[in-house]
Amino acid sequence: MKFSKKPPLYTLGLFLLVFLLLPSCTNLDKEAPAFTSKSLTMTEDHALSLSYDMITSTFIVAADPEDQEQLTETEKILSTPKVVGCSVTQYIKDNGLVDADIEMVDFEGMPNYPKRTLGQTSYPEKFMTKRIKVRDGISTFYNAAGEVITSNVQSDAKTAYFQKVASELAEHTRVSVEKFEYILEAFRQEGFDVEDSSHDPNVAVMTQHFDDGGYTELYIDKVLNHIDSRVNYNAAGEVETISDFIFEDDGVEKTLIGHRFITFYDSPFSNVKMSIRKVSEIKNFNLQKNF
Amino acid sequence: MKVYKLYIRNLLVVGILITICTATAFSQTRSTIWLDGSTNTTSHGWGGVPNIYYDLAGFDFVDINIDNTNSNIAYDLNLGVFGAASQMEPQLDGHENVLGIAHDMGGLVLRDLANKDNSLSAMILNGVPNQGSAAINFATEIQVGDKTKVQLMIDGVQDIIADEECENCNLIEAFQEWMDEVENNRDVLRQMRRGSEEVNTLNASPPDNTPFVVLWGSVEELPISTMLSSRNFPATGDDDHYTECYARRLAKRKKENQEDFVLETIDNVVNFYGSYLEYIGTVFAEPTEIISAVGDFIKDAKNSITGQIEDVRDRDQELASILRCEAAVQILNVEWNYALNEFGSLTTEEVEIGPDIVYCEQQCWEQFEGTTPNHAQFGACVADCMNSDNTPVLTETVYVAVESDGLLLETEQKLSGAVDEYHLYEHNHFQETKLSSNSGVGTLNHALDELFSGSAGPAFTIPKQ
Repeated sequence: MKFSKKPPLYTLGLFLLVFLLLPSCTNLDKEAPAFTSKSLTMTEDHALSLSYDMITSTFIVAADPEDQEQLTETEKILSTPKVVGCSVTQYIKDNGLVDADIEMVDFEGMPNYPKRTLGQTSYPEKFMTKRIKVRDGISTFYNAAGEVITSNVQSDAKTAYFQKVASELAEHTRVSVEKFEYILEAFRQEGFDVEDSSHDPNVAVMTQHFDDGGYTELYIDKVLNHIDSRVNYNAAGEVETISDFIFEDDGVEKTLIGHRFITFYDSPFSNVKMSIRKVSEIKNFNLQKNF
Repeated sequence: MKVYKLYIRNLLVVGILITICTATAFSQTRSTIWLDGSTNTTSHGWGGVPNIYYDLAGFDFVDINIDNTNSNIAYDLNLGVFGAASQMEPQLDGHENVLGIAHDMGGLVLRDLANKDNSLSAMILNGVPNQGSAAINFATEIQVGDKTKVQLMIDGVQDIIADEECENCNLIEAFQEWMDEVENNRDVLRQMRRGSEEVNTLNASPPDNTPFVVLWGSVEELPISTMLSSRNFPATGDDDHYTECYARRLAKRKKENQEDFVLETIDNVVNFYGSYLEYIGTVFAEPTEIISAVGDFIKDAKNSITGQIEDVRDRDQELASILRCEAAVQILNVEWNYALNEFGSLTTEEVEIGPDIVYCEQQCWEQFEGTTPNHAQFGACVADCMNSDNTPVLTETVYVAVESDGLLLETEQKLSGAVDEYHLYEHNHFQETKLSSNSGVGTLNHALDELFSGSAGPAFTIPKQ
């Protein structure tokens, strides 16, 4: 059980792979092509606006880097990242419905693979989403030729949740570490399993158990007052998924600049524990409430 | 009366003779044989193509092997390449100047027939494994126990997604079904593999005396889903059933999950349990007040809080499922295309991936040496380094496949000594016997029109009716 209950995340080693293989985003903001349908502007019925540019790299490597050499030749090919860039502008209305423009963008610095590179294409370009236009919760997916690939309607559950988020969102407030400790103490007194991290005193770990025997650990940053890592375990105590948010913090404002997600499988080909890693670098993150 | 009858009879005989003589004198009808490939496994066969060329295009030929599916016609690929050629040979008796047109394994039969019978005067070899097929090696070679290499690969892919509901539109099941058919015809199909006795024998005695042209198909992109669509849904025009279905469902799942990520991000960026902290932080100062106030909040919201944590876990599990399902299809494609190129045809290229992470981490470790940076500080340091122009760029070696029709490489389809070659653009192996809606360059229509009209010489010419 190499990966069970591995302590973790909250070491600086966390970063060893956070940005691994992530393409350069030096000019992400400057080089993004104009979003031709970016006609959305905030109106009275928009409760929230959210915009960001994001480059996401997905790749598969041995969970333990030392095992990488044991992989088959074809498994090693999977370590070449599939990279997608996108530019998102999204508004959430008071009624929970969403308006959005999402465009896949080739930002500067993204890898330019030759045609027929193994591991890069799972289906032809004509079926790849180039743009998603969302109006009143109805999403239409287009390919690069402007042809409709598919469409989708926002679910009632999602609408209700969006509505709740939009209505409850407050201005950002940060409390001191000392006060935050009291908040965590209240959680403890109400029966939540909250402990300080053995790796970092500024981090608390809240563990929530579920009926199926699995459990989640939430890593809470006391300084920034937020959860920035989450690990899900199965009933056998094996890590199923890891999710990390990376923030830039100037002491007053914090900005989301990255997200990493990892899941695992046992390779039937090399018997090595494999990890599928989805790493996103986020630029120009902007969240505004229409107060 | 008797004389009159004799006169009539003679008149009829003379008339018939005149008709026959006239027909013989002016007829330019050419004999052809159209040989299918292995129709259950690696070819759709010629179907209605000969009829279209006779009825609509007006080429004047007599198809000796008019219907391969007709049991009265002796063309049985179960006899193997040499066996089927021997079976066909007597059918050419009485014919001369026969033009042979064949796809897939039928081309190997045709080549052997050319060696056996000199009534075959020219050959059109379309998507034929002239050099043997590495894909057939992969699909038919036993690796462990009674399992082929490809079956072990499919089993592996199925293992990875055993607990997932992938909504991949039965793509992997379709691949399994195809490989089951290959397995059922394994002994015969193995004759198309690289290094088989049949391929080696034919290549040892190339068809020097029978002029031939090669038609070879290729596709720009490598997805196996498109080829499976062509195999299982040949009548749906250019539609790509599996790919379209899979891509649609995947796009929806991804977007739904991305929206969830956005929701979570909004929650998280603002604060841990959002607006409540603002209230706590501004109204209360004393520890007991804070603990009490938060406690009251938690009492009321306990189910909601635990429910939210469980919801987030569900979202993580959904994203994990999406990634595993995508990985399964990616592995299927990588394994198949790697196998196609197994005999040294892959090339490598260096591609710039991005800034060197190891370099950046080392820089940041040095910068924070002797201190304990928090998560955000170290992350910001690495991010700054990654965005710096001074950071060295990582390159990665990638494998690039040569052109293929999804089953056969370009080099496997080609044969030296060809009078001419026609490239069928964007034709996977199952599309090579299919006529297009236009006759542009790169289509089967264009190649056959040109050949029958004499572009490659009289050996391939069929007169117009």
